[in-house]
Amino acid sequence: MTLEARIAQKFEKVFVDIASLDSAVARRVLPHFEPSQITVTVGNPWADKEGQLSKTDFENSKKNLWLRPYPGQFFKRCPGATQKKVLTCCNYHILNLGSQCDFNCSYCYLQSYLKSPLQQIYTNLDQALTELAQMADASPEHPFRVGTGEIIDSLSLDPLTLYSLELIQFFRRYPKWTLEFKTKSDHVDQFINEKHAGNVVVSWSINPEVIINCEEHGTARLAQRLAAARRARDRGFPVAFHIDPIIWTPEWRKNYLGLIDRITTEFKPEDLHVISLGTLRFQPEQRHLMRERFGMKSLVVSAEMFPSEGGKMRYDAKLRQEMFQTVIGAFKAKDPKYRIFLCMETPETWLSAMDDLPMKRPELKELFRPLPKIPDAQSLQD
Amino acid sequence: MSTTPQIRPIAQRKNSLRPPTQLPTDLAPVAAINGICLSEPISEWMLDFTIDPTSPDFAKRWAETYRALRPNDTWLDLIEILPSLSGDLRISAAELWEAYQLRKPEPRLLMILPQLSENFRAWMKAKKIGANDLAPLLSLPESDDASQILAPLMPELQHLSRQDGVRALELWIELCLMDHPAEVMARQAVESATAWLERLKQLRCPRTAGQDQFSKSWLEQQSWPRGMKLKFQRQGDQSGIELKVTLRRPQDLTQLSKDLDQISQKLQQAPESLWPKSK
Repeated sequence: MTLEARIAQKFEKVFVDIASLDSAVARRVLPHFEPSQITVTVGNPWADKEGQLSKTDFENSKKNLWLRPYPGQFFKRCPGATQKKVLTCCNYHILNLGSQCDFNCSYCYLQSYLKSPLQQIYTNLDQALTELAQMADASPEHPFRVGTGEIIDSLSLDPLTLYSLELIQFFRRYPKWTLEFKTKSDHVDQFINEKHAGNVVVSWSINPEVIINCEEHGTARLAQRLAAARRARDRGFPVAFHIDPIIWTPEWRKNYLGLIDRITTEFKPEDLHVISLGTLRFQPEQRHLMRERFGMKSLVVSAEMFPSEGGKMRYDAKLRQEMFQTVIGAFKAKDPKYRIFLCMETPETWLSAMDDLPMKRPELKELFRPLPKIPDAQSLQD
Repeated sequence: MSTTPQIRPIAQRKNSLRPPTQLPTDLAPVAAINGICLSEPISEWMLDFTIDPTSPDFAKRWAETYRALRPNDTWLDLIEILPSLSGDLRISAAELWEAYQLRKPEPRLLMILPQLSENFRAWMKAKKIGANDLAPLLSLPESDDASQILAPLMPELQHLSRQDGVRALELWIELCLMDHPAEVMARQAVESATAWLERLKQLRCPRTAGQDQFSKSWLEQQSWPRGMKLKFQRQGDQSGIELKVTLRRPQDLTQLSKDLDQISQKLQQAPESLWPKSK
């Protein structure tokens, strides 16, 4: 069975908006389904089920796919940027080409974010690229960083959609801009031979094997992710790792030091664009759905979490500091040139873990330098 | 509401959905829909709203009429009448909840609620408990008897505020699911309800609670400069030392500076959980 067919097998039904029937992505996806699995719709087929999702709704949303044109603005600031008073943010921007994820991580923030009972692939990539071109043409010299893995895994469905090919080609026109694919899959072979401008970062969210086994259901194993990262690196793609979320177990030190050992053995600082770190965090209301779906045996559900500034539940601040210091210290001990930053953390945590705010660190300055605000798509067209 | 009500003799009533909620007045008719009184009859007459049971939107119109006649019903009131509606009338929670513009209830919650004791339901009503407050119940395995699991909790809930009661319910269920024995979780005879709730929190977060307790004890064992109070405090994910000092005259400031030096020296020897060592 082909990889594409195996991916398609994850879905029981596929809904196609009539406006998307002729799209390139629909033509690629639909042949992998039986006619009885396909329904052509006008508008949202399950509009009546929109809203706060129950356990059943959320789990169904991973099995039902909806191909449709996205009517809104594709290009947005990372949610961290909206909490600048509380968090230190790295100016990340997001390009959403779908929503929901076919993996099943216990801590996934989509459990408190999504309101639709369908996994979606937006079929109007051309429109997304037009919007992006308007932004890029307005600020070609500013080093915008754009990621596609915010509310959908960038690459898990990519062998089906092949969006990576068009994106890589597009970013060749804007060498100062950076595109980031963020994934927990090992799907890189569909684009790995594509000519690129060295500005397409392929990144992996990684965790020690024991955490992957317990909490990151359906994802590629650590060895598979690292092997895919090596293949991407060997083809000249900059690679990044996000050790996020760091999850406490009684053996957390051993787990993460082992992971760092593997990464630093296989990747030199110059191979890696960045390494970002984050500890477990979630919106308080998310705990109910996580508990219902994964039970109290989950390391995430049973974690000792406390309300933090900004409203999210987090580990005790001193434990977070210890975790960050341990991980950063281990990387720096291997080689001080590893470029490490904290994701969605408060300035206090930055100071306690790294002694300095990122703007004062030469290797991170560029990432955190303020960029011009993005005008909305409409005003650019005007 | 599009139905035209008719006054009928109460003798023609088919049923009633709930006991009277108002004082009887001799002439006031009882509201009814299709001959079903919406409260226990308190007069000789009912004001009956007729909806064609064969119409395709019968359930929707029934629910809207009910909402118009009982606008102040809460979701807990609706839960109570639901079993009587789902039979012959074929009115489901979805229509009723939509008429009241409430978020659709979790089907599993609707299954669990009837299993709960009268005491629990009385607590829900008295404290105006919302459906979200009961979300922890959804984590119980289907094979578990919710009423039995919650039975030891019931006497304690009466002594707690709404907020603390909801917190206790969640902690109780989580600790049960983490296999803590009920006898360990139960309130001790000498324990106040508040102290018991605090103990449940410590059982749920044993590592942090242990460290906090250690730091607290260490601070209490030390002797501090006269007039200074040092107390360990936790606020959400942050913990630290609260220092209270009262200055009575300007010269106290000079003394304060010396005292702070003394405190600083002592804190250098403090346990790491209290004052983590910098890198």
